[in-house]
Amino acid sequence: MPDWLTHITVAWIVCTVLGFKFQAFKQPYIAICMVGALIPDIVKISILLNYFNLYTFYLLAAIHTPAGSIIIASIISLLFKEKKLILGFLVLGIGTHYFMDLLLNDINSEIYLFYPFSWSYWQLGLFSNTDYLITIVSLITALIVYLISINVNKRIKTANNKI
Amino acid sequence: MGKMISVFTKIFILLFLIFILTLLCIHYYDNYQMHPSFPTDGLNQSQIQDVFKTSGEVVKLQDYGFDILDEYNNIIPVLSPTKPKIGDQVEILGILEPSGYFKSIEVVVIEKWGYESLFLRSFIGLIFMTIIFLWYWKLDFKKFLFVRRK
Repeated sequence: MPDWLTHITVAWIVCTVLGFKFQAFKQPYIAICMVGALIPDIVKISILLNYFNLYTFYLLAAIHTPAGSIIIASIISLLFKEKKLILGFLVLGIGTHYFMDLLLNDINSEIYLFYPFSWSYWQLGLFSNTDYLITIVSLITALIVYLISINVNKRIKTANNKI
Repeated sequence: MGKMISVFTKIFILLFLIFILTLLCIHYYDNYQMHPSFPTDGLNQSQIQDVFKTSGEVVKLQDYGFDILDEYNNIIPVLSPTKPKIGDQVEILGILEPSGYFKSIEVVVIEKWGYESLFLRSFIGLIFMTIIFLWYWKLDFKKFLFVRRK
């Protein structure tokens, strides 16, 4: 996995860029998408449990598959009034997570995209999971997108004032 | 009455989802060993059956390679030309030889500082996300729902 800072940053970038086109991408929902981007890594709770001699990684590993993650997202969406909308944003966040994970070069990673229907496995092997460069690139991209979003929002406000 | 049905439905959906997730987890646990999740390029079919992966912390450098401490607290001697440092995390694809040595086919070394900085960056990310989420949402304890802050 890339670090969680990268995951939430990428989710923010994707939502903010989509927000230029679609009005549904408001800040509260972008926050939900960022939560979604961390759902697959709930499986990392097993690292914590290892310290108590509870080796649960492979028992929880199904959470780190799209099917398992979407079920967790569905459970989380029950805690909101706008369930379908929230589920949509959580799933988008999950999508960004797997996109980033597929770029990794990681022997030990378990990403069966079509589990439980298939055990097919892919990885592009572009960078290591501890590579901090991907974090820096994502943060710089986020800064650029943020500056663009300020400009875009100004234009929208100006256009609305004219109307 | 409507609210009662709504709560009942919610509990039913919750239990159903937990049931499905439990089935998925059990199915995964029972079957993952039959499906290698590592690159099989360059390996013939008989090798694929013998190959498996392991990971752990390098605890000792040896003439033959190095020893690792895996997640189950086992010391595994690894035959490998790779020279990691003590404290590094390694992910190894290899074959367990009759002599008890684990002969590596591929080794990914994660330097100690890199592994620790991964946790640090993740921790920063978690804090950052929690602040952003609670900035826009709050828990309504009466309805047990997250609602948007005005």
